[in-house]
Amino acid sequence: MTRSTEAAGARAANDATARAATILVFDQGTLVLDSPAAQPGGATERAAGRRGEPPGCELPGMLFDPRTDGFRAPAYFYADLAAALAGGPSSISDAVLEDSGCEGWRDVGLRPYQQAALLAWRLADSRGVVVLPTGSGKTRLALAAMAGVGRSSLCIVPTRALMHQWKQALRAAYDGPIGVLGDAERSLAPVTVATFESALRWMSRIGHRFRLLVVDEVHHFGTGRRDEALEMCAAPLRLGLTATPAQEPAALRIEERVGPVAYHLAIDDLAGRYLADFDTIVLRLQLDPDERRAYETDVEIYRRALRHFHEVRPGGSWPEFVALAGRSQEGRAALSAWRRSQRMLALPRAKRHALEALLARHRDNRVLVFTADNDSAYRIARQELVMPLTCDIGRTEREAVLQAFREGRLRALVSSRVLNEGLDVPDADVAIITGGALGEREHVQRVGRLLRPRAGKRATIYELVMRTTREARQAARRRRGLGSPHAARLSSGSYPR
Amino acid sequence: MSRGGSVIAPATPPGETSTGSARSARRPSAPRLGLDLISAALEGPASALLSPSYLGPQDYPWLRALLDEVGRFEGARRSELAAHLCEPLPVRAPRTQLRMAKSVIEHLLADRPSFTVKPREARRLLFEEAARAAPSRIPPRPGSGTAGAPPSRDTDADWRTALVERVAAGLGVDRSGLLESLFADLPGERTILPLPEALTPAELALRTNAALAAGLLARAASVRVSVHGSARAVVRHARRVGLLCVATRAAPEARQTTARSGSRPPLFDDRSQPDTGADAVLHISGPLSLFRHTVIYGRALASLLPRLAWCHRFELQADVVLRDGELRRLVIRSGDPLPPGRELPRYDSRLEERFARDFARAAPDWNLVREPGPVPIAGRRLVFPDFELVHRHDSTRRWLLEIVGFWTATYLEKKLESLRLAELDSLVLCIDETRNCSDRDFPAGARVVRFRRRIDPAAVLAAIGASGPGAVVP
Repeated sequence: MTRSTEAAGARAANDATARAATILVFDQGTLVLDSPAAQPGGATERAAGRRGEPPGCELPGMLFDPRTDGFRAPAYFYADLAAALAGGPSSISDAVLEDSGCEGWRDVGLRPYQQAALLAWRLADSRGVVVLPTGSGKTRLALAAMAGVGRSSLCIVPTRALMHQWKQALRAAYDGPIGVLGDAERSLAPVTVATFESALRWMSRIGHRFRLLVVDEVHHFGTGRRDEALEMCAAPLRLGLTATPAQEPAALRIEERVGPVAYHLAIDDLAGRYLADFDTIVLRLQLDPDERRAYETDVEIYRRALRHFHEVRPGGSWPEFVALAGRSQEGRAALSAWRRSQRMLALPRAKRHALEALLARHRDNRVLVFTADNDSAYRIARQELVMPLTCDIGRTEREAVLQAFREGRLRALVSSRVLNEGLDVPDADVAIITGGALGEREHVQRVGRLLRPRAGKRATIYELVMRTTREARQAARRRRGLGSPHAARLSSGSYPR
Repeated sequence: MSRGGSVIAPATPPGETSTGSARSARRPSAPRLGLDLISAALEGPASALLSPSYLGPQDYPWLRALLDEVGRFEGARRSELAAHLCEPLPVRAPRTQLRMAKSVIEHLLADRPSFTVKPREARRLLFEEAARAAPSRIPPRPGSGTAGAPPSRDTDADWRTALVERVAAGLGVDRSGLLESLFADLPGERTILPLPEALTPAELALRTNAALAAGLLARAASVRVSVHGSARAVVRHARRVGLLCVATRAAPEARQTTARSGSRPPLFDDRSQPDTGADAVLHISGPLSLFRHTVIYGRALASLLPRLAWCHRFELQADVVLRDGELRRLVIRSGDPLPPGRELPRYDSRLEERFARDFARAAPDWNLVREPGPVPIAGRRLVFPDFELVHRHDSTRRWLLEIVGFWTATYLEKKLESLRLAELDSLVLCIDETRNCSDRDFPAGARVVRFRRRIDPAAVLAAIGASGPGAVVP
């Protein structure tokens, strides 16, 4: 071998060593290619490719980061990156996940549609969203998925109440330690449950500790702010759960960060067999004359401003209207009038009386009263002596209240949003909906509270709607969500690369 | 803690500065205004620099009136104050600035529940008793006649009145005492405590300005700060809250470039930025800022502001994302009407603090300078040594001292690499024995002192050849 060949060989060997030493690691919610060759001050040359093409530039999601003189990608690209590294000869070793196996799962029995949902999720490369109605056992499905994966799993849930509920469900199915992040607890275990807020705060430090990410009520994502929790997590397997899937564009963002809808059933698909049958009774009520006068006056003030707004900005959105209205006295008066009319519709005399009558009629039933806001819930609590369950009521009291409801010491609860979703409400068979603020999704979640199946059960849902007001239109719209627009289906494709 | 779970080390998540309990960490240390208020508070055309509408002496009269109005509600319920604050003030006040100040006062107000019966107990007894005693007959609609549908509405109301009185008597209070206590612990029902005496109009103005600036910074993906003095403290804080910080010296040729172009230069191109003669220029950003602005690291950037107030002089520039993705250049600098934050702890760790104390006792002839000036390494980047040792009688005898304690292998490797590049000829490196470093890892010429739990000042003095006269070796 000549000296020049030796030198070239030595250089090649050194390059190979440098390349082999490049590792993909987790760094504060991102993935970086960590190479000893990377040195401060070399950024410009490396970016310009003067030393040749650095490893990493061809990998999915990777961008050159001049701050650290290396390549970096959001952590949620890990599944794609791992696939790319595994797909061919690579000089990069993967040191991202620090997960562990978790044993101690008991058998989680599934109903046929839950088994189908689990299969559909697995066929979608274990990355996808399962849409099932409230009360149909989404948590159980997730437990089965976690047991099947058998590795570290993180469940993130919207509220503290749900977090404790998940913890209980996990205890019933899993013998190992359960970590909790949220509500003043801060512990990690191979199976951990966290609130969305805590997940957002801690994901930059723990995002590499789990192989499976379960996202309960996944429709809360896709709008930007909370998406960071999903983006900073490296878990390659992801399961989203919801009863009410998000609409575009949020749905597209969720698909990118969690996966596509893998399985979808609506209430109508399961009512009668796996969910209780139900009747909806709409009571169309009249405002009293003085209430009507006040309502019409306020609505006219509001409409006048709205017409003016549409002349100035045809097709303008509600937030734009609010922003513009806030800048003039007339606009502010219009917003005040709109708020007054909302308060009027929330609990006028006719609704109060109907509610009183219905509570008396169903004294022997378990009744849930849903209101448009917390103020209405407290008014009903004072007037009808019904226990309120709002976001202001603490966890221990909330648990005690639900226990009292379960045991029959309380026969009715009134709530605006706390009972809307997720919370495992004891069996109830009557709902009285006096108002809502969140439309179709909220309505589906509320109705779902009553559908826990029981032999011979037929639930009754009363909707109190004021005639010839905006509420009549809103009520008609929100009922559309109860139908089954989608036949049960398996997703045809896998997670888009 | 759950069975067998591991407690997360109480380090700080991005954007948080508290390392206390999770419950206290949930509360932000200072208010940040939301996007709606921020947008309303901004002035000037879109192409110009952002000029926040800071409150100043001209606002003190209406701020005084606002504080007086709030003071009148001491002892009242929060919901009553909230309703009252929707009404105009007795004096003229700029609408947006008033909303900002109200928002800050809401954050500062302390309250407590006020009741004669414990609310939770009152609720349990009253509602459970009502569930037992409620009549099952349907009350008639008023005016619709009562035939065939007894009891009357009055009778129906009577059972509630009687029930409330019965439960109240059982609790030893009258009816109104029970009803007033029923929800007294809920946020809107809590009783307002006196405002802090120190909250003068001037103080409220400063706090409102800080909330506005913090709200704006939280909308940034990255910032560029020119710092004169105490740069290391800012770097330390940035790293503690999970931000990436690159420290450089300002480019000397930059001044002319900016003066000529007159346009907004790229934030991270130092060559196009004016040379302010700063000790260091810090480029601070979150790891994800390469891809987009994030809330979590926006909060972390906002937490820099109170720290910057402790620098001798600073100028911060940030590109802020406003509504609909509009990008504006924000400039905050010394002299802006912002309050100083809490003073930073002098030392990064107990280890450093103990070493400083021990060394001061052991080496009276040496000054131990905390946070010496930054040292340039390759390119224009800077490193910040922990201490500088300067001989009292011979200032040419100077040593930089760096402590490498409990850190990850990757961190250690990068730290040593930076120090090697700095080519310091008078460096003392104190390194934890458990780090398993070999001698060839260390920068050439560095004096190495290995320690376990505590750094021995005598060993440091020996390393710099100063263990003779003037040194008190314990």
